[in-house]
Amino acid sequence: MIFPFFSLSFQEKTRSKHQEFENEAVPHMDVLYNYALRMTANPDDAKDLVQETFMKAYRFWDKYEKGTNIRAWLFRIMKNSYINRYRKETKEPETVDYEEIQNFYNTIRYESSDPNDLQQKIFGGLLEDDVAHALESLPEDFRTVVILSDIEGLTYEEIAEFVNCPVGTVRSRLHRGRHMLRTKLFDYAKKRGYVSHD
Amino acid sequence: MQCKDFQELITAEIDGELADLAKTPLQEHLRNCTKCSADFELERSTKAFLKRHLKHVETPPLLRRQITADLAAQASAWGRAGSWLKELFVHRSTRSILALGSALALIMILLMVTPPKPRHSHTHPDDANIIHQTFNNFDGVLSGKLAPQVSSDDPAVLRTYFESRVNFKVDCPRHKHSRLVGGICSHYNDEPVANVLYRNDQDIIYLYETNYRCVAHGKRLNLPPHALSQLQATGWYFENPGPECTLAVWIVDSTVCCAVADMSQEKLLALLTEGE
Repeated sequence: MIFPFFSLSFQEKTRSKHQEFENEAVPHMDVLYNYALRMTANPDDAKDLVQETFMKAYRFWDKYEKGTNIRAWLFRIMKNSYINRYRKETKEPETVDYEEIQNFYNTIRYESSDPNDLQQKIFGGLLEDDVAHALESLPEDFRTVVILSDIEGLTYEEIAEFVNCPVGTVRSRLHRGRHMLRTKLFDYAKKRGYVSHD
Repeated sequence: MQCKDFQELITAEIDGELADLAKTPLQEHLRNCTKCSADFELERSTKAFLKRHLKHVETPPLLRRQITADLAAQASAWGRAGSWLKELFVHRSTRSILALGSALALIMILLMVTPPKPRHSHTHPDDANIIHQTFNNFDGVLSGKLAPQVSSDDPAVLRTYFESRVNFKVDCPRHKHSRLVGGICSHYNDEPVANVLYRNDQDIIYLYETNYRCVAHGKRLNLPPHALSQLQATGWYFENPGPECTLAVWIVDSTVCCAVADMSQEKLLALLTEGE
């Protein structure tokens, strides 16, 4: 008499937990996949990362505070997995020379000040691969905000929650990130001979 | 205000995040400053360019199906009958229920007996990295797939069992607040591994132990370089794969031990370093 009660109520609990998870967490799979794809630049790595994230999220589902920002919670788990998997495998920590980037940006800015040039002539010939690589070359912090804002359309507030920093920092990183990207794209365009040397 | 002060306002305006208060000053400035209005157009077109070339894609259907299937498997894992783990946690409560006897007491105990935590999945690649193996085995323990071959809370019994099976000294001391449950010997790349289990209340602490020299050598078993160097330098290495989940690695004589449990680092460390 005791065991059936025990196992039945627990089975019910498990089923409702599963339903809850499916209703609340699973809908965010696309955004998570896109972020993983852009961060790793590799569909297989992205697949592993998304799978791992959902498994962990399911495990720790009772740690999620119902009603709070589910996407930020999921992203945090993914970010944790990403850091454990990828950052730790590199030998040196990512060193970013912001001064250098700023200087580079300043030179580029004066080289191509005509916005129309940008789109058609210079960048028009770039392949999607080039754009993806340019994005991948950005330091992680800048890459993250550019992905979440420009590809995924998250608001500053949402990005700030995910990255766990003030809204001002999001804006500042976006500003510099986009400029860095433009610098890289210009670089690629130059290499491919789309930039006239006059 | 100077041009540099308007730079980030430009970013905000492009993203529709500019406060109403700042809109007029910005428009004003852009009307009078060719440099900044060029900057505006440059940034706006960069964002548009990115949006066009790196589109939001849908999760590949195969991946989606795989994840859905994995989640369903997780959900049903606990319902599996005959799991030794279920018996480990349920057995005790049966005894206390019988001991009390009154119907009311029975109901109260039923309400108080919290089911063990939901099953977990530490999917890691199946390779010679002993940290990955530790996580995978922990998962195996929790899902009932990996069960002890010898069940005893006496370290001597366990050591006798392992003596003939492994080429290192198995570390399984008595602790104050965690009880030895049992162990089983397994192999990876022909290297013997000791799997030892402790229990603290509703938590399982899983220990993966093997020959340290073999791991340091790195051929049949290994540790990632950053983990190995930290272990050699400080005697410990930790990982926290999630909230309330800790992996701890340490060396005892010529044995390397990896412990995993669903608890904070402080708690795990306290339980593992407490003598009798």
